[in-house]
Amino acid sequence: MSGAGLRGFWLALFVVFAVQTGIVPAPGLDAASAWAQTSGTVPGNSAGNVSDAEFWRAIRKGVTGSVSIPDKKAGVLVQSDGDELRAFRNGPMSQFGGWILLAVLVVLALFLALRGRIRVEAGMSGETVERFNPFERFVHWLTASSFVILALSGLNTLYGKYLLPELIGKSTFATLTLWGKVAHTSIAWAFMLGIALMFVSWVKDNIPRAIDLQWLLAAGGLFTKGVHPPSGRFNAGQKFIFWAVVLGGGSLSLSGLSLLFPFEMQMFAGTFKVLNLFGFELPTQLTPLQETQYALMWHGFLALVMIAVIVAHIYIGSLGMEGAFDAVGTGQVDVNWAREHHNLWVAELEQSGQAADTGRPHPAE
Amino acid sequence: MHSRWKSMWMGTLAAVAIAILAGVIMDRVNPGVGARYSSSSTRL
Repeated sequence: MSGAGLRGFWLALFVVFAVQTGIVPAPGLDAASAWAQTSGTVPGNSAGNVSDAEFWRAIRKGVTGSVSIPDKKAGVLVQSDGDELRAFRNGPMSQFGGWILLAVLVVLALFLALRGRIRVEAGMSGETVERFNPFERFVHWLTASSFVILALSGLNTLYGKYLLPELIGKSTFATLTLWGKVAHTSIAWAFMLGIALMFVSWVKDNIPRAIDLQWLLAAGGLFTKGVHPPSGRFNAGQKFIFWAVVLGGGSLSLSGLSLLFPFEMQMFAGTFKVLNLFGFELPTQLTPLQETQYALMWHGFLALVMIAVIVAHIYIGSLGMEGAFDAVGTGQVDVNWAREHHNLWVAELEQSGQAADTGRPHPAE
Repeated sequence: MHSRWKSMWMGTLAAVAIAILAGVIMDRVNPGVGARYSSSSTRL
């Protein structure tokens, strides 16, 4: 190798070494780097140009990443909707529920104070007629007893933490709440069965009829002594209770099932699509976690409304009206009670020979 | 008085019996949250 060739070889070797060690930048790489710095992006779309604040803000807002474990929901590191759920549950829902339950108690107390117990105006005759057969009474109490357990354990879940730890201690409260949760999820099946049996047993007598309007216009005679609007086996108020229990209980059951088997039932996206047809603008793309959160909110809200309705039902069926409890107790009600509150039903029984016609005038006639 | 409350007790006992049965069945069928969302089967 000549002297010039040898110098060229050593020069080339130095350039390669210098580029490798970074002493001298490689011409091509230098150009790409400069381009990246001026355009604000990094080749390969790496996160190098994203600031930490933007990165964590995206995570905080619930951006979905990818995970290799079976539970794909874990791809969301921070689920912000949970904050909104907690705020709604501990805020408006709890407050609304507290006010509505208090309002019902106050209204019933006022009603009792002003109207008094609704008596059988003709007095008890001593003759009875069967109002509900043994199976119907069984269905009523199956549903009622399970609803009471569900309501108490549910109210404890929502409000217990504000009151009970101070009264019974944190440890006892924790044990109570744990067993309350077990009771809630177990006895819910009895409630669902009761709702289904109740629907089958009584739906034919609870179809709304034109005569119900008369009952409603007279407010059922609840506020005026001596007024007894006509009614069949069930009056309009009882029909309202029936449909509230069947539809409300049915919705409670479905939302409860979606909470019992979380992330496996998608109900709200479909429901919202239907509601949007009526002008609502509800989200129709929901993650499984959002579905469960909507179910939790709806379950709690509806349960509070149902409890308020059932408290009123319990009042009028026991303390509020003389002779009413016998219908679901022995199943036998006094004929005069039946004539005053369900005159058309008594007339049907008399026509079919199931009740003796005493010839007394029917109050609503 | 006994017959007045008989149907209530029957309905309540039936509700409790159904709850116990449902609880036992769910306990056996449901793998539990721990098992269902475990990361033990992670494949990296």
